[in-house]
Amino acid sequence: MKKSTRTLLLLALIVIALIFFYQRCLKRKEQPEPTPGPIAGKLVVRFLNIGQGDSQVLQLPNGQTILIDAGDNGKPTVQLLRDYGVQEIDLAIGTHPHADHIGQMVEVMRAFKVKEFWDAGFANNPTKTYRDMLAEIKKQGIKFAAPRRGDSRDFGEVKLQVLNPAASFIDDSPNNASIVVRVTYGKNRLLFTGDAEIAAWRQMIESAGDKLHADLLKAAHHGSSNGTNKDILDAVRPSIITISCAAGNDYHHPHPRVVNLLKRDNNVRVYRTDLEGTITALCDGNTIEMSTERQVDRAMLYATGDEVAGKPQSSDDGGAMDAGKRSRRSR
Amino acid sequence: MAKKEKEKDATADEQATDEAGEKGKDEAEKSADKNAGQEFSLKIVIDRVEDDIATLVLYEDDAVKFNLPANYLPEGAKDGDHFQLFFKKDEQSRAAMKQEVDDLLGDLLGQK
Repeated sequence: MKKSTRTLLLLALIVIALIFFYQRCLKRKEQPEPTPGPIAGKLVVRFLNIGQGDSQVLQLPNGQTILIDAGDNGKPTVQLLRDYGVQEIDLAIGTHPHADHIGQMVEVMRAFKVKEFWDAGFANNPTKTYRDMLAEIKKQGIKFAAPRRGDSRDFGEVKLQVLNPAASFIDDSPNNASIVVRVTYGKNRLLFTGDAEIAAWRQMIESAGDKLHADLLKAAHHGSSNGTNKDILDAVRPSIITISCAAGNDYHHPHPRVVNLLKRDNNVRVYRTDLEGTITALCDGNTIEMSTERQVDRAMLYATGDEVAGKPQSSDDGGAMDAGKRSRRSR
Repeated sequence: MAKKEKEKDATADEQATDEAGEKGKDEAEKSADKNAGQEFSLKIVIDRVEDDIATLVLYEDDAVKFNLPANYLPEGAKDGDHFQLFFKKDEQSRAAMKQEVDDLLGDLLGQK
C-alpha cells in the first residue's frame, strides 16, 4: 500500500472516530433541561427520579398531561409533578398493581384533578395499595377503563396505542399484565413498558411486532434481565433507552446482562435515573432532544446496579441464575 | 414494595429448604408445610437497632438482612436477641381483599 493511501485511510479512521465520539459523548451533554410546564409544539416527557420505581409524566403540545405510574409509597412524586409545572392530569395510567408503580397514585389524585384513569384491571394481586387506589378512583368518580391491546386514543396530535395486555392475561404475573403503550407524535415514537417480562414481550412481538418500533424505549422492569433482551431490542430498534431505578437498589437493577447488551449496541444511547436524576425527552415531532438533571461520565452509564451500589459484582452466569429465581418468584 | 415482600418470601423459602436438608425428618416435614404455603418459621437475630430501625439477619445466612422500624419489634427486644419468625399464609385475608378489589373493579368497569 502506498504511503499516501495509508495516510488517507488513517485520516478517514480519525474522522469516523471523532464523529462517533461526538455522537456518543458530547452531544448529549449540551442540552439544558427544558423549562417546567408544557411547551407549544413539543411533547415533553420526564422520567421522574423517584428512586426504585417508575413514574413518567408527558406534557403534550396541546397542554394536556398524561401520567404513567406514580412511584412507590413515600416517594416525592406530587412535589416533582408540581416542580415540573403539572396542574391537572388528563389521563393517569397505573401500568400494573405493584406499589413501586402505583404507590403514590392516591396522593396524586388528591393533589391534582385527574380526569381519567387507565388500570390493567388485574385483580390477582389484592394489596392494600391497589385497593386504596381503586377506592379513591371510585370515590372521586374518575372515568375509568382497563384498556387492551388494539385500543388507541388520540390526545390532539399525540396518539397512544395499547400493546399490552391482551384481551386475557397471559399468566398470573402482575408484571406481565402491565399496560404497555406506544406514544406517537409526528415521527417520534416512545414505548412505555411498565414491568413487562419476557413472556409478555414474546406475545407482543408475535401479535403486535409491527407496532413495537420506537425511537425511545423505557426499559421494562427497571433494567432487569427479564425485561430487556436482544429479541426485544431487535423488535423495538430504539436509539434511546431510559432506565428508571434507584442507586443501590436491592434488586441489582440494572442487571449485568442488560448493561452488557447495551454496551455492545452502538446505536443506543442510555439514560439512567439512578445516575442522572430526572431525564427529559423533548420531542418536536421529528427529533428527540435529551437532557438530564445531572451528568455523569459515559462509562458510568454501563455500570451494573451492584457496581453503582458498591457491592461485589455478580457474574453473568450468576445473573442468569438470579434471573431464573426472580422469574419464578414473580409468578 | 409488594415485589420486595415477595422476594423476601422467596429467599425465606430457599433458606428454609436448606435448613430442612440438614436437620432431619421433622424439619423436612416443616419444610413440606412451607412448600405447601401453610406455615413455617425462620430463625432471625437482631443485629442492631439504630435510629429506630432494627436490622434483622437470618441466623443461618447472615448475609441476608432486612430492616424493620423498631416499633414493630416485640417489647423489650434488643440487639443480639434471637427470634423465630413465623409465616402462616392467611388465605382469608387475601380472599377478603380480593373480593374488595373485584367489587371495586366491577363497579368501575360498569360490570355490576
